[in-house]
Amino acid sequence: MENVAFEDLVLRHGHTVYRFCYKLAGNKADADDLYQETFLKAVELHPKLDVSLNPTSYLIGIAVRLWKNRRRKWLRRQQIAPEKDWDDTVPERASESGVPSSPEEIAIYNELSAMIRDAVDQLHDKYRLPLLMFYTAELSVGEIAKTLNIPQGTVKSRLHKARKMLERRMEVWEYGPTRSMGAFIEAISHPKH
Amino acid sequence: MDQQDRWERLLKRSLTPNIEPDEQLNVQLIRQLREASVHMRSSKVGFRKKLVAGVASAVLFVTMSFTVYAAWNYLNPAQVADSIGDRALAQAFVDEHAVQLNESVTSGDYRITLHGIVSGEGISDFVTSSSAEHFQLERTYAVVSIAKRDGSAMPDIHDEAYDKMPFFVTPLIKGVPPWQVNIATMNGGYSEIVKDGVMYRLIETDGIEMFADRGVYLAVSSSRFYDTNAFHYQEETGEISVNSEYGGVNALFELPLDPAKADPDRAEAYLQQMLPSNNTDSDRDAVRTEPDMEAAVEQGTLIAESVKVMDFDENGMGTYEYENYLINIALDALFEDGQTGFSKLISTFDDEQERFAVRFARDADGVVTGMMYKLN
Repeated sequence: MENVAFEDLVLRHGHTVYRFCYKLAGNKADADDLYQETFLKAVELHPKLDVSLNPTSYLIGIAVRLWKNRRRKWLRRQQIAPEKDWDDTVPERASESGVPSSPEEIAIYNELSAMIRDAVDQLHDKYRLPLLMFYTAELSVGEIAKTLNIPQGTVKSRLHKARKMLERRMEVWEYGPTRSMGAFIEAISHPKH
Repeated sequence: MDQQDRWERLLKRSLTPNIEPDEQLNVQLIRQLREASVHMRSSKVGFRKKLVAGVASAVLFVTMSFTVYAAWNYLNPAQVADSIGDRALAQAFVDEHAVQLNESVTSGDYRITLHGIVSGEGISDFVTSSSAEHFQLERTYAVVSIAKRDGSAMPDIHDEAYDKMPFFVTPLIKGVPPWQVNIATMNGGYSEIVKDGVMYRLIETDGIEMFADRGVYLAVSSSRFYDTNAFHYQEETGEISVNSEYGGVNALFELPLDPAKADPDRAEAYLQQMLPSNNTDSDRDAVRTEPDMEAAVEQGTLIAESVKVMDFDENGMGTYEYENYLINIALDALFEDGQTGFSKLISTFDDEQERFAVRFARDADGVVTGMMYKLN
């Protein structure tokens, strides 16, 4: 693949890869590094690029490998100076597809989202990685299985278990799907047009 | 739409950060991609010219029982580098300047093997221009394996038990306090794989050949950071040796570096900017995890009345306060899930002429205690 194609990849898929890197690394500085290294590694490995593969899946796979290889260093940096530079505002996209619109709903939404993110960050990587690959990078179960080199059934069971662990965690915080969060989910699930 | 679908939608929205790469970042990345592509097309062997000659031959360290282990039992360093996707480094490990050692030592239930070492500039795929700004141009890479003596398998990286038994692998420099200069302070990092029940660790640090005339060790201990209990450091001679009384795993190899590769001036300048006495005021009042701080705390004096149980709110934030010191900190910044004992995170501050440190401990019941030490 020519370098111009990789430039195209940056422009077309960079935002998804960056979001995933940001979730993995936990802060902007390390996300920037991981994002750059991912594309540079992709250039290095390009003879192995399977053109039939979803480019995002290919790049996410490289990001996961790089992150696994280097997470000790990044974890150490995180512990020294934990950074929480999330943009905690409601995503613009959410407002197009069903949304918290009142100030109260937005406040609750942001609180819930922050709790979910914290809960996800506390999951073991065995569950956290498939979860981020599925929700943040929007990879299919098959793509996740191929990237992590595990059976599809294992991916499904880990996603299922991860969701259950998150539900339990939210219930401990009294925001479980069956309690107060339920009403909120109900509200944002019926978009106002 | 049922409850589960709604939960899915909330998860999706929560895990999609509203963030994009900076435009400048993309501009820089595209420039790097162009340069990388041009470089790859023009010279596939360019890195060979940059290689610094490596070590000459293996030597045995006197205080431990070494064996030359059958190399066919293991992956070689090049195979380890290739397994983690670093093809350039794999090539460097088979270059004539790299040294295959295959020296083993047993400690506790483990057999630790130093397989090989190589130093040079630009010999890894993983050093990008953005991160290289902070590093020495010359880097050193070494491959160590750790296996169970009884033949049982080390936990795979996907197993729950993985990383439960930590190992710290680091170069140490003769004549330099090991808690001050080790892989954690030498811009180090590592990659790890488990293959056929053997754990392989590929470490990298700033180049160590400049210290060749002083003597350099490679130390392994069952700890997350440098453990002062695992090794003895003799200030008079600068020698480092294993502590045979240590309760965990410890091993020490002496690296056979070629003295001709030493660069005393560069080595001295490197150490000068690293050692604590040369730190600037901006380093004070920092929250640190450096192993030298752990050692300093161990040697400090606990202020008994400062020991206080901390309460954490529903968001996991807790406060520790003693006299004029106050810190708000997140529980998950202090401890990993299930972790007990002392947190690696230590807060330090100066008060007039004295220096203090605050560290945190969690017991099996989850009770977190903060305590202050007066440092020597």
